[in-house]
Amino acid sequence: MRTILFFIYKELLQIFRNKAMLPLLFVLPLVQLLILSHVATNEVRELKLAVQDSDHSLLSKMLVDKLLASGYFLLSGLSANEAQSNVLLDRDEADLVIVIPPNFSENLWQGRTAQVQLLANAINSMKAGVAVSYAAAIVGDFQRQLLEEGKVILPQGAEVACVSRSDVRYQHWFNAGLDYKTFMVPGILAVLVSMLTLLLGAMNVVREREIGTQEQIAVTPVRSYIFVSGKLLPFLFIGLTELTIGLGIAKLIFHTPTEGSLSVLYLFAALTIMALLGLGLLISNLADTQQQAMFVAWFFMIIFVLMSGLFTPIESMPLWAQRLTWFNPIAQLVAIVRLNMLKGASLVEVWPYLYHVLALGLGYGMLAVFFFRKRNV
Amino acid sequence: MNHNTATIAVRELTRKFGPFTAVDHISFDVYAGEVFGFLGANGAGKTTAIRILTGLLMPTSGQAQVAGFDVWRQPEQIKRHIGYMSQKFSLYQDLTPLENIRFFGGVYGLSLRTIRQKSEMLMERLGMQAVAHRLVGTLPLGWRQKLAFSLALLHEPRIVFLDEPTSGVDPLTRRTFWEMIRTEAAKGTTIFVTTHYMDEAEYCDRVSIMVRGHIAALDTPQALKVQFGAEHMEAVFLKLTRPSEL
Repeated sequence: MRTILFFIYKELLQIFRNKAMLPLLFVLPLVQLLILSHVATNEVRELKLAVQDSDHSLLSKMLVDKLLASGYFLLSGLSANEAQSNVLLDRDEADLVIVIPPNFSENLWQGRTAQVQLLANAINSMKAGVAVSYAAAIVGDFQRQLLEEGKVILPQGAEVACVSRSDVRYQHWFNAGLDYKTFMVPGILAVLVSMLTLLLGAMNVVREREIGTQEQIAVTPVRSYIFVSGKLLPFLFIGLTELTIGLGIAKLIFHTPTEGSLSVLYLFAALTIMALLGLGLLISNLADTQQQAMFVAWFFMIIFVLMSGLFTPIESMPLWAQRLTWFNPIAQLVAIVRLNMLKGASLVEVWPYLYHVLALGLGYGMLAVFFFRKRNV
Repeated sequence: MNHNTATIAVRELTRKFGPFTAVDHISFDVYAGEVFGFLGANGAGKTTAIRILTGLLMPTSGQAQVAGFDVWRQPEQIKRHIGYMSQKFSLYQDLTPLENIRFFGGVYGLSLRTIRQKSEMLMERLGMQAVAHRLVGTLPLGWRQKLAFSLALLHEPRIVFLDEPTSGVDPLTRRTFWEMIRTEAAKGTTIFVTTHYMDEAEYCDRVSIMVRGHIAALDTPQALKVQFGAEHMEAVFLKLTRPSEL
């Protein structure tokens, strides 16, 4: 076991002596954290709204004013007819067109059903969905307001269909202001730490094969598990250092809450990093050069990051995809970091994750050692 | 040289890769304190034989004992008792000579005190005190090869395998390198060396020449030259490896 210390010392010397390595380790990830946390948002604002108002009444103007006053919409154009509206959507000058038919106010005054049409540009289906639901909610609110103020009366027998009397109020737990950054910063931090350790760990093992010194090590009495642990363990320290710096930035710049216990956070981070390093070692067996290792690691990383739940909730993926995320250490770390920092989950709550991450680490580790042996016979 | 103690004993050693037989029933002994030249054209099976004798590769059949240990059953013990320097430059270029010595010393389980003593001794003997803290990659090739040779001897092995140790090195450095080899052999260390320089074969106590997986000749350089009626080892080598052209 003493030998491993010589290995770790040697690796640390080499890593920190490499001039390209320091910025790669400590500058780039932090720049990414600072930038991505601001841009990775699902909030939809400043939607371009075009109005096709054929009614030209007080009520139709009130409705349009209400939409614009919500803060979600910017008036981007007025159109006189359907053809013009289509042109606006075609040219991407409008995300949403609200069509108010000529008899809109008359119908309302008479207690008949009044109709409003929403045309959404659905190239980005998520954005379109959000735009329509915002607009629909505002139209519903408008209707309720008119009824409450007694300006209009309900059509016969349409009570339930048109107006919901139940008044739903939300309280968002664990992120009261629904601040997107609060949600994203812990997730991005988890992904950055994971990516770095996976990629650099895999490349570091292959490096020695590429420059030929692995052959020199092979003729020494050093066991292969000592060799690979010596090459990988420095990245556990580096990953945890990275996490520490990232947490500092999250706290100081983004004021991200850190509700949970730090020891639980570090325990899980360490276990996940070890699972990732096992995977990195597995990848390194598929490669003879650092370049090959990078491509293979990149392939896994794209899948792992997109399926990590960072941007899209895992719960809304198809069932088979949810199953696949079981094998994804990054998904586990993203979930754990969020639970820990935002919710302050105790060890008991994250207990199932502990087994999960341990199993992943053991699984990848054993596979990696098996293939490593096979390769070297 | 002591002809009674074979530090390497090879009997009918064979290694096949699929249908191809890289090493074909070779047998020879190497004695303690001997400089044994292991020659052969590229692809003759030299590298495969060395990989078996250093415990990196299992033979297909046959026997071999290295430093008294069996290649089948005790490859790890073999590794403990041999030194190895490959044709590829085998030091860490981004570490200094001292850091390389410390690392390899640690790998062979030397104590920190021993490592420190050996470091000072080596730097002085190689005249490298001035560059002890410079990265190895910035040193001239000749110095690096001398350092690599000294590192292969760091744990005082009974046998050192040198795989083309002087390729790409200038003639003067090659000469001093061979002086180091002879000095080490005089202390009783067995030197197992491959080379493509036929003048270097003359420095060896005995030379074997491998051709297509077989050992085609094995004797002292002097005896080989007489046997093949050649003036230099180069002519002996050419007669054996390309007999049809001569």
